[in-house]
Amino acid sequence: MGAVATAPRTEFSLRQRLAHVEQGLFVFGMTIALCVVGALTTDGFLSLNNLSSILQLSVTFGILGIAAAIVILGKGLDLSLAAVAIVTAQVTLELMRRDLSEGRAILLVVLFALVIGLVNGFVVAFVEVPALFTTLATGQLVLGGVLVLFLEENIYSLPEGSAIAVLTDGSILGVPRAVLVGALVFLLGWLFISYTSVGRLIRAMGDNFDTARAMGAPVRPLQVLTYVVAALLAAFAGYVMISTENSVETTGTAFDPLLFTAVTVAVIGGVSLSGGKGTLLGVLAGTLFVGVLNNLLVLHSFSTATQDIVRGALLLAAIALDAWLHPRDEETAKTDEL
Amino acid sequence: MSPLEAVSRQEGAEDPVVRLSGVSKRYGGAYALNSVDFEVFPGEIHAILGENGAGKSTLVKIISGATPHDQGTLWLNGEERVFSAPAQAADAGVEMVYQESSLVESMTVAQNLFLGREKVFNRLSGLNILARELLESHNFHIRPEHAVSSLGAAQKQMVEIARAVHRKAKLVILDEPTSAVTPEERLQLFMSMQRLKRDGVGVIFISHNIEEALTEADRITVLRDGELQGTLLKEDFRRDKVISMMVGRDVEYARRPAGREADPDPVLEVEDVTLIPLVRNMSFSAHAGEIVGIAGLVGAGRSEVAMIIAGITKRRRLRGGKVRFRGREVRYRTPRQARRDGIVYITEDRKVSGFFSHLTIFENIYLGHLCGSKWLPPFYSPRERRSIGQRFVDRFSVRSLQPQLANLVEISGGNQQKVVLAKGLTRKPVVAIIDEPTRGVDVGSIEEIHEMIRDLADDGVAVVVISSYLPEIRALSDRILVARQGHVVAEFDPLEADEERLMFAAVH
Repeated sequence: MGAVATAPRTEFSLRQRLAHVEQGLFVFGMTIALCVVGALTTDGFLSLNNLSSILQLSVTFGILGIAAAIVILGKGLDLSLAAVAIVTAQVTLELMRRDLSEGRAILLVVLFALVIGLVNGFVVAFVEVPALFTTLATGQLVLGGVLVLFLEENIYSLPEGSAIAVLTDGSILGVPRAVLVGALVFLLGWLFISYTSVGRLIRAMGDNFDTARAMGAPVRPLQVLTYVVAALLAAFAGYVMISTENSVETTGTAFDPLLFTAVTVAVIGGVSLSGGKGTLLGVLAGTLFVGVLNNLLVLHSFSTATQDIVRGALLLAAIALDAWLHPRDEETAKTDEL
Repeated sequence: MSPLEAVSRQEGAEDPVVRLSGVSKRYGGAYALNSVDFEVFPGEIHAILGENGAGKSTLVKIISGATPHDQGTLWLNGEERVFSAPAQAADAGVEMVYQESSLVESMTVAQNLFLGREKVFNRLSGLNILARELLESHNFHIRPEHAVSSLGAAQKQMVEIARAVHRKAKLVILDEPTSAVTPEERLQLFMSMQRLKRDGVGVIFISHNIEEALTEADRITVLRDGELQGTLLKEDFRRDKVISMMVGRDVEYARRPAGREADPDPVLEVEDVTLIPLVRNMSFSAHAGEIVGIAGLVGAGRSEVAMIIAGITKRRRLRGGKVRFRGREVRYRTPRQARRDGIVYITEDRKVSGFFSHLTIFENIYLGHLCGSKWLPPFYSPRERRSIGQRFVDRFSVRSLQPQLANLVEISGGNQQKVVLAKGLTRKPVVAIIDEPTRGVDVGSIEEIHEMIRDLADDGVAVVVISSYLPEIRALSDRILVARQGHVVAEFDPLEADEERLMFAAVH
């Protein structure tokens, strides 16, 4: 290397330093800060009951967050997850109301979720429609189509003695079963992303699609796979949801908060929308953060409108931070990394 | 260095539009431009010549504000400037006409001409009349109401030139204006350059084509490896002089003879392959155990053919011809199919499609290894990643303090290139097509990479090296092919071919 006349830049900008911080740890820290705020401003935040209910309520969108993260890691995006989760729950209960056995109802609905995943994946990977539009459309289609063609009640309750209830019933060694189920899904997701070649290639594909394709990775099947896995996880999240809440509404109120949380949890946890970056540990941190936040909003008895504003602002802040830390513009990225 | 010194032009009282003094630009550790002096006067056509990677683009990027320089001084209209955005340079009267047009394809010619300068209320017909006047004053036969997407490459450049004139540019930079145009269009382009000159505009014109520069330019500046080789006045224009300035090098790479005979039957045969728009009837073959070097200029269609062979380009662009692998005709739909058959293509543009910038060295190599297998193994083994990663880091002498932890963005270009090679070659391929193996690589690594490529051939792989870097072609190849304008025009024995002869074949 020739003589270097000017000293290379050794000072790092705030952005460069932040980009190297493990975002999961950062969000864990923020969650703890939020807990401190909660303990100081409300009675009963720190009660065992409340903390345990935060965890139980977080499981549904935690699973959705994992689903969203798997797709986003591969540089995709799935906005139909919340719709799939809700519809899964509704249709299963409707089928059971029509005297189908529970096992068959679940089997049918899971097959349906599989088809949604395949459709999403096919349209994104082979027809090359941007993921944002594809999944927004399929999500609306599923939600609306099921409501119009299929559902006959405004609210569905879980029948007595249903197998779905067992998912989150009671606790084992003092740990609520819902939390154990969530932990299991988290563990499986982590193994999938980190210890299967397919999971690793999904991340690589998110990092650089052209490189992955040129070196012989089956990129299109991989894309389809991410959407299928995500849709199946979303269906599972749907079952966890009715299991913890015992009922599901067919109006919009059940849908909106879920749509918000799935992507938010992933992005807050550091799964960058530019693909290939982020860890499931971050998603876990994001889940806890949103869980605590939701809880505090309720404890402070803010109106739903105020809650929406807070959540919306949070999502915007997280996405803006992501865009700042991981700029998508090639030229900026290059000059920064030199 | 060069026997020629930069000659300053006696232009009386006139000041240069742009003047650079001792300007340098570094990327990572390497100089893309090293202490270059350069100036353009009003009403002058100044050609910049040089091979790929000589620093031509970097030079005009600095002038047009696309990238700031690290050292030295730049004066524009007598004022010292450092541009941090192209808009600043445009405000100062510098207009860049790129190879890839910067026009908005879906708008009409007239709309593009006045884009960003419209009045608040503007009528399309008024716009069209103004545009027609502007275009006709240049003798450009382009209808202002036509959509830009319907224009050819040269017409787009003309629209850009007209726009530059409309914006009262003082300096117009043309980047390889003639690389994709027909002969008539080329003439028209030159006429418009002459017109700019008459209007007192400074013109910088980047080219590979020596002939064009010799006939059209008032002065020629030659760059090589980021260094100024000299600026020639019109009376000193001689083709052989320019060529020797462009290619003459102090470095000569060691040539290691082949360790084995090439197989008599070819593994890969390319027959009359035609691709729109660059490739016409390209034919060549590769035998196991030999290195075929394909020389030529950028745009000669070499990479395009390689990417068709390896299944990377969409095969519907194929307009005829055959690719035979082991005697069987193949048309791969995806790179995966080619990779399964043992055909590996190592990209010329590693940043775009060579590596995963946010994954570690080991992971890059191991993922490449996994994708080379017929079926993806279900599980990913960190232990195997370490062992395979370490083996190939050693074999390809990738230097990094922590190959386990270092991401690809954090290592030098030479080491990145070695990782890209390792990633594709963990399993012995049947055919390896290596495109510009040492572009942007430090001198030390070049020799090492050449050794690896020779090892590959001695191991029985059919190696095709595509390179615009003649010393490399000469040092590596067992057979040298020269491609020009989409087909192979000459074949040389490496011991007979000197750089002048190769360059001559590539240009004429």
